[in-house]
Amino acid sequence: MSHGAAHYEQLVHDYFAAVERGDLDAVLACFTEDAVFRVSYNPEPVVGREALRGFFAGVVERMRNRREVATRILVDGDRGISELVFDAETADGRPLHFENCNAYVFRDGLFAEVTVYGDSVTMKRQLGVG
Amino acid sequence: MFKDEPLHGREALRALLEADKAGWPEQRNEERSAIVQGDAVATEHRLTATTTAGRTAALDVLRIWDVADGRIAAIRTYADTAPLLEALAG
Repeated sequence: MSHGAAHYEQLVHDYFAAVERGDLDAVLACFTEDAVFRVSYNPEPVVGREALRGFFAGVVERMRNRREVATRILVDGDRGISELVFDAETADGRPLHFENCNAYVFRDGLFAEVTVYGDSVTMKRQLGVG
Repeated sequence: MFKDEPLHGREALRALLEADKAGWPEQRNEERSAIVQGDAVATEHRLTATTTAGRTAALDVLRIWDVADGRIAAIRTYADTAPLLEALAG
């Protein structure tokens, strides 16, 4: 079954909404079983749904009042990107604000690969560790 | 090479490119993917840049290009800038 741009745009919105709610099952439902998730400043990718469950559980635990808004989504065949504005608070109440961009490879209506392009320098500055 | 605030206009862009070339005389962009939707293009690159002191940084970059009237109207760049700072710091 082929999926069009509208399907993948909705998938991106559903993913961000699920992350915001901290709904791990809904987050993982956006990914293929063998999905690969990369973050630009992490050397190793997270591979597979079960590893992703652990990754996102950590994210949900470390950040509260998380809000991710896709400001623009582009889809071209089996690839896409979304620019996003991210706001959250750390567990100790420190505010975080990032503007990141995700790159996607789609397969079977789901994310087969996600790469998060973010800046660790900005993140560490906001966390007070850099 | 990367700025937190946007630059506007050709002259500001010229100044950026000149400073860029002076600080990072060797640069290479290896394009890994490109997608097009209407007047917007997104490209993924592996950027390798070398300082005047000969230190090299390598980083993955995503750029979004807005095109109007056949020319680039805006570029937004997303990357982890830590490798650049590390190369500059030596």
